[in-house]
Amino acid sequence: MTGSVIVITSGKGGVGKTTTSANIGTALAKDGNKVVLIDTDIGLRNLDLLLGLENRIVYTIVDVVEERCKLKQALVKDKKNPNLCLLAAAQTRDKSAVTAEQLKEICDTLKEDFDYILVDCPAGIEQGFQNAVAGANEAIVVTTPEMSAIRDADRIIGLLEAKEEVQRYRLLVNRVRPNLIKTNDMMSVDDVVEILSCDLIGIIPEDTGVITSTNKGEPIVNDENSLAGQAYMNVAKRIQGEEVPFLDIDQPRTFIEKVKKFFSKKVKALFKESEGIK
Amino acid sequence: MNTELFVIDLSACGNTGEIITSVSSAFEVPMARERKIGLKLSNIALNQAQMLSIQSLIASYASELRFVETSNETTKDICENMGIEVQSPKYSEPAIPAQEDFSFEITKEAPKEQENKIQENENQNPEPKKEEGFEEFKPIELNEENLQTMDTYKKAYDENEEEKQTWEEVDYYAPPTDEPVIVDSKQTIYVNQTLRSGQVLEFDGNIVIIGDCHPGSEIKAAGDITVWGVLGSIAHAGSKGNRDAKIRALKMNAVQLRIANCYSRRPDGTNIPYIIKSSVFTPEEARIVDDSIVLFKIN
Repeated sequence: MTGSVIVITSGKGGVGKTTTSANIGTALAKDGNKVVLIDTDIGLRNLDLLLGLENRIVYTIVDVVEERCKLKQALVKDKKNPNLCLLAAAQTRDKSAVTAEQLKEICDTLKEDFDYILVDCPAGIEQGFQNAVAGANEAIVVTTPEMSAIRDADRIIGLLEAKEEVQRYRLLVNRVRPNLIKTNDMMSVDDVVEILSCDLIGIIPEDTGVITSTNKGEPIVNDENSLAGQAYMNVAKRIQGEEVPFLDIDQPRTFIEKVKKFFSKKVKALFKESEGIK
Repeated sequence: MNTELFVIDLSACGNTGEIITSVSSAFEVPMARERKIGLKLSNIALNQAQMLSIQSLIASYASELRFVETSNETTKDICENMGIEVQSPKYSEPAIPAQEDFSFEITKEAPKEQENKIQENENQNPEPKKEEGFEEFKPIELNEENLQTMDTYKKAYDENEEEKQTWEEVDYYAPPTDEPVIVDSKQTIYVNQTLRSGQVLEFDGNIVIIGDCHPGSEIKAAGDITVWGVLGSIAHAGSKGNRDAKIRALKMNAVQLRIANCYSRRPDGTNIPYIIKSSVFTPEEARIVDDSIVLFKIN
């Protein structure tokens, strides 16, 4: 078995790399794939918190590299899904504890046993980024519809293009707020794609449920009513090669919104009809 | 530095732990800081390591240990070696009033009380456990109330057992050495700060932390670990194989507890993400019972 190694990166911090990693990983595992998540943010690890596995970590990636344990020992199995594993980062060390070659070696070993290896990249373009990208043959660039995040994403795409191993990179636009796009206060997804001229892999709407799920230590994919969860499920499907239409993120959520949308459609239809009569 | 001597009376203390707690509580008063300190040690036997740790504790409050009052010979010798002034206890200080100077009614009762007290003291000396202070520090034995907290951690351990079975080749926490190294229980360091995420504290003896331990930090001690605050991190006592090591904290919220080669983790969903620091403290002690880590309440 040769799995694919996907690095999830963004350049800018706080755009949702770790949230995306946790959710895509869980979604892929839910679809029956064997998935391993690697946290390369050594010294500032968070992925274990999002998955609720903080209390199970005994060995970390640094222990593996420094040969204090076997790779298999360091893989922490998920509470719910046995297909999902986490290779946690050490909290008490820094990025220089692991080199790019060592991470590449770990990825190559894991490729034999797993379908997907998701590498959660730290913010920035220094050693941490270089390590994370080393073993990857695919990349997901996470960005938000803000100028600063887009600028950093552009820089990251430039660096990824220079790497021969990374055969493909796709864009994930996170924290999209349809209401703001309507009033022209936020860039639309099309604008972002146009600026970065890059394939799109998913659009994730802003969802307050993400905050609660992060605090609870349970990925939002497990919540089937959540729009962001559905969007992440679709991203996982696209990674597996399925063609899924992009989610209508402007879905009415409350009853009043539903009524409003229904009537506005009717009015538009009437307007068109009357134009036709003319 | 204030030149006046500030005297801390430790004669009621029975063991090192009590000395530490009473010294640190004495420094809660700002008056005690930046001063010359005198200790009344009565008949407590202390070795050099213990004296050094008391000295360093006092030094951490910018004070200086100048004077020790003791009747114990070993303590005397050590203090003299360390250059601390030593005196034998003055028994004249409580000053039994001369009977004739007082009116008859008062003298009749006052000396009697004192005699009784002395007699009580004599009785207590062979069995110091009768004193209230000692009982407070003694962990309560197993009963139903204590079992509630025990269950949660024991359950966590059992879950871990399952994991052990599924990952067959994995021996979860192999003891680092074959022969357990029993550490001299007297080597102790005091850390007077909050331990933050990413910080590691490692010592070849006992560790006493006066402050909180935030999640993401790690404490490793060959002996016991005592946290005078909230323990929210990974704590590994007896890291060199001492299975008698204990972990104590005013509030136990540890991600993982490890003693020697035993391992237990916090049950899922019991994390308090926003700890209210001023809430009620429930001091607990963790130790090994039948190969699993069990928590006991300390009252």
